[in-house]
Amino acid sequence: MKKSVIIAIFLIYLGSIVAVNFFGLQMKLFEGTEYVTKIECTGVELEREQNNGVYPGYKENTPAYAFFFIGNGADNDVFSETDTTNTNVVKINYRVYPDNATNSKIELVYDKISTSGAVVVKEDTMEIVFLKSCGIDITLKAVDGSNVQTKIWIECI
Amino acid sequence: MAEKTLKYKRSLRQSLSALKTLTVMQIKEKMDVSYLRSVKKTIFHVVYTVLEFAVITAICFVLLWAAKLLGVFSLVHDIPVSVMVVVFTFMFTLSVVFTTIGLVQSLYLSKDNLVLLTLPATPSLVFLSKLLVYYFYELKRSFMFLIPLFFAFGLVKGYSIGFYFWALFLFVFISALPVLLGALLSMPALYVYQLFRKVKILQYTVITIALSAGIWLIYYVIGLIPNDINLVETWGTTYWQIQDFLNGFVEIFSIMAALTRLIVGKTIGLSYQIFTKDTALHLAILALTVVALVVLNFLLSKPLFYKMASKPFEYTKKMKIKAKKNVKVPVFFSAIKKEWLIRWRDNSIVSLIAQLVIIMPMAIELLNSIYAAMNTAYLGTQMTVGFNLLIVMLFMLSANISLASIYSRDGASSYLNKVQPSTYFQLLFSKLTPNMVFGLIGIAITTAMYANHSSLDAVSGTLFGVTAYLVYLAHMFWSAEMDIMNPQYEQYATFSQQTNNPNEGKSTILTFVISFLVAFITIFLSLEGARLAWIKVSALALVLAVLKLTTYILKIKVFYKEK
Repeated sequence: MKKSVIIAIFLIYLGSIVAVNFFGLQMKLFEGTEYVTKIECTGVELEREQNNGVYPGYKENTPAYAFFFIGNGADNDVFSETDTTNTNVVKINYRVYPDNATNSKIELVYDKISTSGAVVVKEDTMEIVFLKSCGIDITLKAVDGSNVQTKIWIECI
Repeated sequence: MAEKTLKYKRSLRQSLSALKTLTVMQIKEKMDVSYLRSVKKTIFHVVYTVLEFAVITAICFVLLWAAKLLGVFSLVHDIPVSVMVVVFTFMFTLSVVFTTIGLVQSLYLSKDNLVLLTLPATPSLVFLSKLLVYYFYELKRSFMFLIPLFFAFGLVKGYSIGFYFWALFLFVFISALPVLLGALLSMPALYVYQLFRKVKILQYTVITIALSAGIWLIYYVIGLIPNDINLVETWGTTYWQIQDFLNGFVEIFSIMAALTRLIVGKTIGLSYQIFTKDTALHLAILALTVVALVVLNFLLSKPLFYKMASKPFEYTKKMKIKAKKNVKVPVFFSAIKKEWLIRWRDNSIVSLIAQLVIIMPMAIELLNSIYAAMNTAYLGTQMTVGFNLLIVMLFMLSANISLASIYSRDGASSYLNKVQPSTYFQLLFSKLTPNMVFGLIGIAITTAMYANHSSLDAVSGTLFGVTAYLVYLAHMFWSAEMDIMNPQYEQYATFSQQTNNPNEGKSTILTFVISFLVAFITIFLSLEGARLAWIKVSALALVLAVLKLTTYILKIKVFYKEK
């Protein structure tokens, strides 16, 4: 049998399982909301390829992550918000428990006034862009009304 | 010195010219390039190819965009590179396997090797031309799936136009990898093939062990199926299982991950970059790997190719012939016995049995075990019946695709069908009997396994099997008819395997069209009532089977008529 025929049959086989599961199941009665019980920060990833990555640790019992700031060579070493050469970008990886929580979305809470001009927080992609060397307290908070949250410290040195 | 350089240049030019001639000659046999004779046909072919490329890219784009929108692979609605690593690795592995099988035939067992070696070209050039033919074929196949997939990935991620040129440039190197790896692997594959041919008991033992392991694996997987499969409800857990699988896969197949990242680049900072500091290094490694594989092939595979190609096959085998008393049987059964012996000796019957009698029932058993774990509504139940019929049809009809070249494979011996003391119908029909018998056994086992899970009553369940078998027979006669009307004897006279047989292409398209049509008609009619639907569908299938048998007999009368 040709390779393309084998692949097509395999894809249709898998597709049939997905199609029945999405369109053919019995309706289930609403049993109430499953609230978030825990948010865990599984790691902070530095989105650049230089060898020095993110160093985990603790700051006053709060999980902390530190990495080295690479400047733009200017006198004040501060990037603008639209500067695409800025490689001081970290991504927060997290996990929400339980897995079947009704609303597993979270928001990032931080001091917007003291960090203005120093960091840019992108909630949709969970990225934090450091415009200069500084540190930030970030709270990952559930939006389903359970008030579950967890705090981390990220420092750019 | 100048004379030496001139001599060397002339010799190089001659070698390149010979290589070009050999490659073009073999490509003409392997791929249909008759359109090049006409400007109009060439333009039409180019436009058709571009449209085909665009359609495949569009399909891949829609699938990736839907996955991105639904957040299937990422919480931030993205398509991670790990998904491309998995797909690319799977396709690459399939390419290596199929190229290895093809190169075993082409390099060592092809009838045209004896002819090619008599041409004014060195064995090295002949060997290189065979690899080049497969390289161009692999490049053509990359254009039909992998390259559109990467293009679709670039479109979904919003990559710049440079990415598309870079991907095309890289695939010039990447397409060589399965061919070169296949050529190296063809050596142990040939030894295994020859060992199996010499020691039949070993072959049967390995096949039995492999099939038993496959059946055990299926039942093991069935044991792992949870009680209630509901992807939507358990999406939270399923999502993280997918993530764990993707991350683990990328870690294990790090070489393929590096190759994929070489094509798609990396996201650094706020933007994505094709060229990073690793790009030059990885590109150099890729180029050196290709060169190293070429050298290895010339050192290892080429000597074996020359040895096998220059071995006269008629006199080397010591025939152990046991005298047997001649038993007279009717002409028809004699033809059937001959066909079964041929199919048994060339092992095509083994793959037929594996596909129809082992794999198809197991696949249906696994599928229905998964469906049984879902709490389906009425629509869902109807869908499961339709999908079962669709998948059974796909398995069965795809086994008939090789029948679209059943008569052409006789090659230069095809004239024997006209000089035997028998009617043409008896001789030609006898070649279809293995498919008929194993199709019947396969559908009987599959229907019995399906009946364990299905909500259909005994009559409807039986009609399910009868419908599938009648449609299978219709497609079988249809495929054989194509070979009668448009035989490809010349291709099989020189090549042991024709990879661009137009009849097999048409039979493949018919496989999918008929399967979907039958499944759709069944679901549509079952809205009236299950029993009535099956009676109507079986009647339609019977009409189709009788019609195709009639046209098959008529075509034999027309195309095998003595003038």
